[in-house]
Amino acid sequence: MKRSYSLKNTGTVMSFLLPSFIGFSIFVFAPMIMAVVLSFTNYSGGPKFRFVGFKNYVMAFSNPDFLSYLFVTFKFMLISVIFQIGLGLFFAILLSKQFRGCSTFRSIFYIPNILSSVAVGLAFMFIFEPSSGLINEFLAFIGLPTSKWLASEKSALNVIITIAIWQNFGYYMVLFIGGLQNISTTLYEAAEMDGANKFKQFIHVTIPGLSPILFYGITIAIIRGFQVFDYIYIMTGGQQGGGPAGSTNVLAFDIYLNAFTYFRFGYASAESVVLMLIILFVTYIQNRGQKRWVSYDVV
Amino acid sequence: MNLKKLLFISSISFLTMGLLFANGSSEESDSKDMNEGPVTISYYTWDDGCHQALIDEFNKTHTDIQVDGHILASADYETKLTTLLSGRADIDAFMEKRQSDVFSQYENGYLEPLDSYIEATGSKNQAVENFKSAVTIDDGIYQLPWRGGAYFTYFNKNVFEKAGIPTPDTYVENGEWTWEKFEEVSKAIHAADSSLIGSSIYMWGSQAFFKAGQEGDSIVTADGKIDNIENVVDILEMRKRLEDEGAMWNLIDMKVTKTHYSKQFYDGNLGMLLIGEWFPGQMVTGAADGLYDFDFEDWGITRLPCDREPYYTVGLPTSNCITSYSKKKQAAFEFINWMSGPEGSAIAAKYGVLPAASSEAAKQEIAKNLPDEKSVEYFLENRNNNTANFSPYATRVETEFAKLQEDYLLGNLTTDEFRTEFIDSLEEIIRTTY
Repeated sequence: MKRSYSLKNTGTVMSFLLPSFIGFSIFVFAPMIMAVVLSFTNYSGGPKFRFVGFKNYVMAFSNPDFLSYLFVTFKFMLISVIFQIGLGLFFAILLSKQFRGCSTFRSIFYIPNILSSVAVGLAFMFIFEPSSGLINEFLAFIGLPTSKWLASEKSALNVIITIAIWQNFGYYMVLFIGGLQNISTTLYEAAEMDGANKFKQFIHVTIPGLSPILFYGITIAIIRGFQVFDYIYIMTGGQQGGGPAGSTNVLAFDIYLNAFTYFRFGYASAESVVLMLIILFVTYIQNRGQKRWVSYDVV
Repeated sequence: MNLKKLLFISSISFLTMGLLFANGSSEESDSKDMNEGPVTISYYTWDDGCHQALIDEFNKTHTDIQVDGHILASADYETKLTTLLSGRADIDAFMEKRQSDVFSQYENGYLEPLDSYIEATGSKNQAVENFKSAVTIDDGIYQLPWRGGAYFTYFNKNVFEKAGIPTPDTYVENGEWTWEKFEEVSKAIHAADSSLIGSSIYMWGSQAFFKAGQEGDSIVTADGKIDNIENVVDILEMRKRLEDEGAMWNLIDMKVTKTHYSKQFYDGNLGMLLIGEWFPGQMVTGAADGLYDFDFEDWGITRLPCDREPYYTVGLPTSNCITSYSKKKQAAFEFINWMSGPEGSAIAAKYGVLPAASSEAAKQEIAKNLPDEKSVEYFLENRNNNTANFSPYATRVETEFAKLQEDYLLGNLTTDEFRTEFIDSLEEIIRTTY
């Protein structure tokens, strides 16, 4: 009887999971497997293709451009993650307590996150316009030197990183506010009674209490950082090849160019697989490392 | 009861999936048209006003064939077309936007050879004859050109008047319109008034291949050999000299600010713009929409600067193709053949489009959209046409060149370094194209 009940339950659970599982299989798992298979071919969008072994991978790693795109991707990811998480945490601490107007401030910092990156990219393109953009007009007005911003290979990537940080840190702020509000106030009271100052309370109560959310936030920010594409495409030339002089070309952008401009789907798939492996590796390392700093029992 | 629940949920799941993929069988239902009433062909192109007008006119004047036009956004037309073709979507014919894509489509077997269809008409197709090298792959014809390809010098007479310099057509008449003279005139305009910009060559990588094309260089030949690149280097050096003086629109600025070439010309302070045969159409619509302040008669057209005799311009035609898997190939051919013929070219001409094979009616229509007699003369003259960088390597060559060009214009590369890096990247492209 017990066995039959368990089977019935399993059947019901499975039937509820089935639609999502089918969706996941068709739209996530199957394309992933297909990308891996295509990465071993010279597929160019049609029925005529052949297997080329590891040729695409060898070509990628022997191409200095590919390595440079990897470097730019890492740079974007690292800087944007540090600032998005840092600013998110900073403003979460400031705005986690209830005070007059705190909801307004929270909304102000969160609103950029609900805007389309395309619209944000276009708006900032005009703000950072080298000759008559708002920023340069303002700098000139207060007597400071102007910059070429997106038109210079030295500053273009930094401008894009800044915009990505501006748009996304509000998301992490909201996550962290939720986490902070779940930390019991008794822990702070106990720490205070033990003589801990605000900094020590932050290190020994806030961080451990927030660590599961911080871990989630950092993981998501890293994955998003590796996948950046939209800002690059919109703000630095689109199909004209990113720029200037390839200074903002990240790996996802090169994947796009190879697949949809050069029709080198096989090579683009190999690049995608490399990117996927990097993300998996970084996530795995983080997962292993979380045991040392993430506490799930602080409430 | 539980079993019923399970069945119900499973049915709903599969029904949902079925609905998601339900549109995959449209080809079958369309094939009924072959037997019932007029044949309806599915035709893909991008959002150019002229294209819709051509489809409408064909549908109005034909009862046996109707065209179901699918107008896609221009910006991502190539990407969508590739995806549709690889999914064997219901496409009988389509217009090729980026001409070098034809090589990949040919390799993948998407294109129907058109030789037998042309032969069956009993006469030569003039549009094909005019651009034979651009539509032939391995001795077969795979495209029917409908719009001619040619680059010109467009100039603003007011700017020349302000600068006190003769307009470029004067130099053409004297046989002096060389690249050196172009540079000299660009500088002279800016020197006369610093608010004036002498000239603009747009940001597309291909625009630096004008002189190479005129001289018959291929950059990389179809069989994978690096051709002469010195004419590309010449234009690049000229561009840097002009940009450094402020006599030419800065390439990186126009890319970052996405300033379209038409906007540069509409602004009224640009002396010369080197751009293709479609530009008169944009001047017509620009005037209708009040996008520029000067009069329609204040601009003119003349030849591209050229260092060789006889004169050569550059440019590829815009063509139509038929899919190899279409079930209505003959009907699709009738439509694209009509588009390339006198009726199609006369309609296209109304929009300022230069047809691949011109007719007297088309010439008269085009003349209405040009500012003066001399412009008509240069726009419609018989000319030689070459194209650089038309090979299976073309798109990658153009992108790699564009990147190095920016590095050079930013002062990060000397001319020798550019030359070395460009050749290295060409070798890499040839080596990694398979």
